[in-house]
Amino acid sequence: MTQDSKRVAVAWDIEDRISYLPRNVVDHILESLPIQDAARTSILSKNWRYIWAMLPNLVLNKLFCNKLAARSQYVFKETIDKILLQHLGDVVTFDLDVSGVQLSLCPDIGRWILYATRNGVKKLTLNMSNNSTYKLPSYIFNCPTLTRLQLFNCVFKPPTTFLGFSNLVTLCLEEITFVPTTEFCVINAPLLVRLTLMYCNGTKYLNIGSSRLNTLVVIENHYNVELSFFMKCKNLTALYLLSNNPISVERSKLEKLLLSLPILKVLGAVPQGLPFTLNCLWHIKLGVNFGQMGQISYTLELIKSSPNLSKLEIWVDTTSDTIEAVSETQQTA
Amino acid sequence: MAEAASSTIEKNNLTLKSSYGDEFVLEESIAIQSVTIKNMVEDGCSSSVIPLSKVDTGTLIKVIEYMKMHSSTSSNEEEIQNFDKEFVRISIKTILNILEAANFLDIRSLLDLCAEAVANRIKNKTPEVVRKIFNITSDFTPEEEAEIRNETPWAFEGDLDHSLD
Repeated sequence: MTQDSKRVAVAWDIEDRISYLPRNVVDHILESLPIQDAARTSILSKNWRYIWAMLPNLVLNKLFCNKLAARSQYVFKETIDKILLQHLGDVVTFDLDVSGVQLSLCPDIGRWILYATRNGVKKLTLNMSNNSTYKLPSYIFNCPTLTRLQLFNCVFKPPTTFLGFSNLVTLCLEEITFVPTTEFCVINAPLLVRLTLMYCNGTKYLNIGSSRLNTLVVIENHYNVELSFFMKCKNLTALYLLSNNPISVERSKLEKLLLSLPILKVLGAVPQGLPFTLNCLWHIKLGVNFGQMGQISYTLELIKSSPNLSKLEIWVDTTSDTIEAVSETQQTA
Repeated sequence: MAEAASSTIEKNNLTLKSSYGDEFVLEESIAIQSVTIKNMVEDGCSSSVIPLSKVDTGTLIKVIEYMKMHSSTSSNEEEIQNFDKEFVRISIKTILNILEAANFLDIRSLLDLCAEAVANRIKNKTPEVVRKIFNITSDFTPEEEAEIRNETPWAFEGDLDHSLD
């Protein structure tokens, strides 16, 4: 090795590579870090000074919020306010999880959401604590940039001026209470592809439909969702209807819905018996109580009516003496 | 019939050339995990050798090793997870090389894996240690540093790790 090439090799070894990676790669690294670790990089060198402040994805997770709130309500509010004040540029993702914070922060949360909605937020997640009666601020309903919205434990009452979510692709609502403004709470979301409703209240009057809907997940204690609204969703390929109380699904309504979906491929449901053929269906997921003869025969009926089935998953309630029954059914299937 | 099959296989091979000029033959189905290569193939540039002027030989060998494992149908999820874990147990310099190559070649899962590996060497560490690990020289005055600490005090609190590994 010549003197020169040695010098080059040494220079290469001590070179500061990370600071000169393409910006999208540096962003990617920082976004793999919790916010406090990402923020700490601002002190590394002048190169790093504003990189974290310009990160388009702001994730204020449960751990971070809990840690601040454990100090005091004041510290918590002050810190989040300052993070948003320091932020530069668009906020593509805003994720706020205050589910572990037992404080009355409603006006502050509204202000933070306002900030996100005024800075081009596309993916918004808000996680409130259990049984919260936090009423979503109107800004959420007037934010055309949203493509993904995930809400937990809030009150969903759209303002009368609500025109719908024009660009929303994914909507996930968990333990949300719907307060209809007119007789039905109609949510106009023409681009919606994935919809999840878990343990929500007031879904009886909910009407969300989109011709592009591909995946629908409804999990409820008692079925209230009006299934007929989804009959127009001709592109639905995966349907999951789960309830702790299986008999609450009206069999005729479910049958009607299933028969109106021409390309349904995956069905996850509590068996209700289907005296017809589902030709497209290739994957079934079932929760079966093998202690009940009725459910076993429903299961077999469903399997029989799906000639193109290639994947079958059965969850078993293990409280009953079921192992034999499971293996018998599997052999039959 | 056998002849047709063998010519199909041959047709489906690609040659990747590193920045040092070393050539590697790889099945097209494996190589197209790279969106950059996939686009080249779709644009009809695959008949000759694909030059990867930004990827050195050592890095290309690692990237190919990764792509082979991730397109193998014989390995299960657990094997792949273990492979990934071992794969990033390398020097930070090598990880940064692979990271940059994964970005250039547009292999999302490899980019994620390496970004996380780099992030793990920043997580919970003091700024002094992070500078040492990555050879970053601070160009701030003590006053400027104090100002930054003051801006985001919550980022500098708690038990931070002083170790280099």
